[in-house]
Amino acid sequence: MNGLERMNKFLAGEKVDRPPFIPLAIDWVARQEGLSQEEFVYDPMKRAHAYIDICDKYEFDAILPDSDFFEQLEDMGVKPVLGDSGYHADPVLEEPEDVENLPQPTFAPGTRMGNRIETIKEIVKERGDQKFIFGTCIDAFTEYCNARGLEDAMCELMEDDEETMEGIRFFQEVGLKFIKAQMEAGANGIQIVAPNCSLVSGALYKDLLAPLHKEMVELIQSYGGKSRLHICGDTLHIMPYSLGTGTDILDIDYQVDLDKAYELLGPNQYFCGNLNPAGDLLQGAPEDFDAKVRNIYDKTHNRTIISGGCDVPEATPVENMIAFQKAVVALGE
Amino acid sequence: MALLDDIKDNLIIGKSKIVKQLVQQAVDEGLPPKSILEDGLLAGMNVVGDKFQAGEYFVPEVLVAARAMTKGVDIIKPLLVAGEDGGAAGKVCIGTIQGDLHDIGKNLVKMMMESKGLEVIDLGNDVAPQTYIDTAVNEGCNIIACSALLTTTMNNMADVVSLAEEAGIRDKVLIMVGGAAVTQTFCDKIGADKYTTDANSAAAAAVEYCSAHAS
Repeated sequence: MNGLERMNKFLAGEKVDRPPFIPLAIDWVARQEGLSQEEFVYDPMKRAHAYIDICDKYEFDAILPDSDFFEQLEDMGVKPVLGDSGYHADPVLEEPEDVENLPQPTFAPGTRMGNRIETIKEIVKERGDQKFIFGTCIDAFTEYCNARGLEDAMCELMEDDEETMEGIRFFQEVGLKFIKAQMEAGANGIQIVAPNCSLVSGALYKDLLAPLHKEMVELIQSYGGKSRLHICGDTLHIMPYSLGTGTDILDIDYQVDLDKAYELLGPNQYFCGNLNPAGDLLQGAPEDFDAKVRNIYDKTHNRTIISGGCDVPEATPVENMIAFQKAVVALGE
Repeated sequence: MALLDDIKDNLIIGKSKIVKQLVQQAVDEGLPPKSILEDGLLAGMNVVGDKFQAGEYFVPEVLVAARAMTKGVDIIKPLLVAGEDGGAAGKVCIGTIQGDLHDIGKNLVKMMMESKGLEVIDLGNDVAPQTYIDTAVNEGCNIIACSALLTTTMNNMADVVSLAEEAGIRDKVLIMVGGAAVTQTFCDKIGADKYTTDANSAAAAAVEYCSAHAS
């Protein structure tokens, strides 16, 4: 059974040999492949083949060729700068209404989002019959926060949600087009990346942000694809609503109480997670992975695609990744 | 006093403009600035901190409350007599460790610490380990607080500990660490003193330390 088969069957509720294994690895991939940040972020073919190599070598069941948080924003005028901690960009919206002046992305080859589409096409060409291929889309709220500045964005959302939601809507429209382009490029699913949503109340998420995620989920599913909603941190307080978007897969971070989360899981939904990236993947010992992976499997009754709770730290030892993969394989024995 | 309660209540719900107006009114009516600060503004931030700890408030609610606090403090700060600023509980220097530019967690910790009456020197982001030490020495800080979101940057926290030893202040300052990348195991490994998981417990730990070591 290859990764594509395993993912499709698992997500259809059919019997599989063991749960899929799809660590969310980004900077780790670049480091393992010896790529500079600039090559990894800006060269679509190098990124495609870096992911193919790593996902083959460590037997990931899916390929998700992510890079950085400015892939979409750079096509809208943001200028990321590479520093010691990766790419960073100053807010581009000095006032909320400046969103009206942002350029509309074209998705043409050579643009950031155009390059991602080329990356996906290349991976589909090379591994489309073997691996489940995810595109990604950063959610509109996170985009707005990055474009405006996190503190300003959140305060404005509290003080004038109508006006702020108009600004967020701009990024939603771009996101929907980006999802469409990636699905048409052959992606099997899309990961909606929404890290800032764990920072808001359940009420705010339910009223203002979940509808945006639902719109993205429904678009992905209209293409026959699987949606995967990724919100870092402890998300139990918003989980009734994040699962309420109808997402096929909900990524869960290590802080989430698995017992309580499982009670909320819908009949055709699955989790993906949830080892501690720093505590387990980076700092853990190889011999610890069996028990930790088994815990996830048992507590969620084999309804979890096994991964870290968030992305694999860049310095994660190779032996830990190998031990992680072996622990998942052992679930089927 | 009703006016101070109004300041407190409006700060709790993040009404910056109203807090600013009410603080000005309180000043105009001759209320002591120290009372306005402690019984109005800080009292409100304390409630905000408790609600954040209890999971009733989240980051946006804390941020708007903090903005309201800032608006109020801006009015009364020039009026406070030296030593009346309520910051005598202790002094902290805080920053996101070198290489890391994420600051929301650090900013929340700073807000919570200030709400508890601590004076906080914000070193910003991407702070070199030596900067923490120099600030602690020059400003007489009781606590050095480092945060890291990225696993690639957190090892720089170990340098803060070793530089504190070299500077001869290791036994004079509490070194606190936190952030998404940090764990208790990591804290123990680098020899830092205290790991906390959230802003309110960081502030509580800082207050507890300063109270226990008050000269």
